[in-house]
Amino acid sequence: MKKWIFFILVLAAVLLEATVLNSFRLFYAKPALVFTCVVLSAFYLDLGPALLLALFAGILQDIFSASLYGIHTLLYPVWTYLIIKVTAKMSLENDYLRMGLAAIFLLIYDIFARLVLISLGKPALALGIFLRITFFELFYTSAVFLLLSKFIRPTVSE
Amino acid sequence: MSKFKNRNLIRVVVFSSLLLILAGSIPALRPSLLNVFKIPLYLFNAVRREASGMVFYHRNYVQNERLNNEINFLKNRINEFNEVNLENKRLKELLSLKQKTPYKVIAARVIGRSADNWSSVAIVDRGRSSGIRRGMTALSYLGLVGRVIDAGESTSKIMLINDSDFAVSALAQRSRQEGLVCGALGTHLLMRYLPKDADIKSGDTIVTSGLTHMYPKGLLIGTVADVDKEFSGLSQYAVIKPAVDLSGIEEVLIVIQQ
Repeated sequence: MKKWIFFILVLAAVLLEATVLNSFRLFYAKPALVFTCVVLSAFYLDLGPALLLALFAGILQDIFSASLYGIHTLLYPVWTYLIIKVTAKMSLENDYLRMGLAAIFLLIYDIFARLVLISLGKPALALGIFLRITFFELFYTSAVFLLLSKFIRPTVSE
Repeated sequence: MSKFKNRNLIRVVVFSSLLLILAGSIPALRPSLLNVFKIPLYLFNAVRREASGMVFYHRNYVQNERLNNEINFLKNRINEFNEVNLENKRLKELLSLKQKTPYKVIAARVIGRSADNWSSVAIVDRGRSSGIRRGMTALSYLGLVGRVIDAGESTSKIMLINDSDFAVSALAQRSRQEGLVCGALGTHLLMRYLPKDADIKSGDTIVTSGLTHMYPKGLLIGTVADVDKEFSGLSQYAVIKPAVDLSGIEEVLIVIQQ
């Protein structure tokens, strides 16, 4: 049941990010809704289902992007694996702590994804533009993560 | 124990290899996979229009009034130009000059945008079945919008001019100063590689130069908002305000024949 909830959530998140959220940008940044769903699934699902869901989310996000390489398909399962390993070592039941961890992972993910794309030959983005988008994306995504986490918890908790 | 470790290692290697192969094949599969999302995108786009209509009601009301006034002004100008156009045709006939063939375009509706913050693409509801191919230019009534980067059977993906990967050779209409207009993932574009003594100033109109063969010459890109020196001090760059409101485009015209 949990898996299906997250599956539908990821599908809705991709469609929302591609349509509705474009009208609600903050300084040209919108919340990373799909990333939020992937991180939440890592907190609530086992390794196997979480990895498959991350792969599915990555493929969906890559379909709607313009990158020459399936960067999200590659990195989302890796990030899910890391989150599961980190949360196995420390207990994170508090929503604010989870939000903080998600923000840190999003920041590292953005930096790492940019570096991977540069190494694949894509031109580097100007530092000012990168910082602007990253800062507002972090702020917006954290707020959305908190809201979604509070909604998800009673629905998927056993 | 070492057998168990070896098995785990093999699993990790196999999974990583499959992941790399899948990630590499995504660009090839993208056009066909995007077709599956055409109807859900239509539905979500309708929701977006209604939601932004309700949330931004006052802004839309003020914009509507301003646009109505602009329409009335432009109608008057069109009437004036019609007279000039007719006179131009008559004179050309007299001189037996050949008529310029306009572009053949196809209209397509925007049904989605990119699902991340690091690219600027628009998904439209026309594809190969309508004659659209990769590399075709996309424009609107106001100016250049972008180019087609993926063409599926019934959907296409257009890279907008403010994408960081986009670049087009352009020139200032007044001084004919050439430069390269690049996207900056925001509301403005950058015109780079301008010499220190370039004759370019705020208010100048920027159009395509025709040196990038994909884009017809003379397409309006935008107007210069600001000119500043590069960090090195050896050259200048200009900040360009696009003629097209990229965040609000609902329809594009794709040039299928020049």
